[in-house]
Amino acid sequence: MEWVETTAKTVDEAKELALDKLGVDETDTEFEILEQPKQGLFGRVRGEARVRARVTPKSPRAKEERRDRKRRPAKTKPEADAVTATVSDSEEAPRSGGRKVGPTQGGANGRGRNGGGSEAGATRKRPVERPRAEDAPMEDVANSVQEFLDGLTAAFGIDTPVTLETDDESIMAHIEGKHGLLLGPKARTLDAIQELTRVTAQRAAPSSVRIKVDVGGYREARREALASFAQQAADRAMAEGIEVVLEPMNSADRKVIHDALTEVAGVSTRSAGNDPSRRVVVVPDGTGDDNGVDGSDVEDSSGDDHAS
Amino acid sequence: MSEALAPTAEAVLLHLCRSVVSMPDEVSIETSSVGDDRVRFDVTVNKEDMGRVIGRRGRVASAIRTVVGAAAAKDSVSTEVEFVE
Repeated sequence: MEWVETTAKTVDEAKELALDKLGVDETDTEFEILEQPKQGLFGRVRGEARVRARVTPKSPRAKEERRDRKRRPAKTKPEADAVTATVSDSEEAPRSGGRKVGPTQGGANGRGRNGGGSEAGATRKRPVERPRAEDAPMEDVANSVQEFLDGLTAAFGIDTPVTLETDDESIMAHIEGKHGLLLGPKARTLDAIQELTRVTAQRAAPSSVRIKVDVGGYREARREALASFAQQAADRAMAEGIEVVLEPMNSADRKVIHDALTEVAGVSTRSAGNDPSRRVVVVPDGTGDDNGVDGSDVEDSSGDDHAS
Repeated sequence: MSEALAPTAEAVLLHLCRSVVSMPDEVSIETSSVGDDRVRFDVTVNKEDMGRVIGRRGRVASAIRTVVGAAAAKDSVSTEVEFVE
């Protein structure tokens, strides 16, 4: 992610979120304020502050070739932004996903629409004042990831292949073999490795490429387990006609649940609460609460977490 | 001599720090023993790189500590990591 874009009630909060997403200190970051918050009646926030930030590039780069891919014509009218502007939970704010134009769901449950809403970032498609560094080529990002992880496994004294799976906008790095040492309790070590991989790649080759790291197929297995858990929740919601509230999960896990149920007819999903107790709610159709009007399901279009 | 204390953890720490800073050649690590089976690393980086190894709200530093701690299991020690300019 070259630039990340965030929204929050105040400019400062939006900056904080952006820094969280970039995982760097303020001193390494440059900001652009895209929109000041608008106050509504009784202090209600009508329009949120929007901020754009990036890690200050270490060296001048002039990669032009990816520009076209990243600057797609807006698919939605700027008004779509009004929808996302109602998001009250600042956690959703990172909307860098909007630049990715994910092949996300059809708007059946409101989530697709959000994807479009983020795209309204194109409202400021007009040239920004400052020259904008473009994404590093995928090849550079991949090399940086490969080099980092090869070096890491070597330092660990673990002789195992690291293979990368890449497409246009993401890299999945697989560390082969069941190395519990690299996984750690509750995958904390793996998550830390992933975080450091992202930071390293972001600094060596800034881009909006999404980077994930897996060891011994852990994430895939976890995803399958979560998806099957999601299906059970959906079955229950439909059978009993009630909303099923799941346990608190991090944003990556919530995304798996949202994604797993996007294609399941008869239910929709939204998220409720604030991190760290934010949870997915599985809503059976027909309860009149399946449109995510509160914007609470915005998160799933923004790709992975926090990076982060 | 530091090799003797926690070679895996130190190698991992060095790799991580060199990867996230902009001046990898200026990363150095001082190793000391603090009590039984506990090793302390004092990492020195260029002043300009402090923000990079620490990261927003210490996220990078915290991730580094986690991974180094995992590596230290191989050396049968626990570790603490401090960053100094």
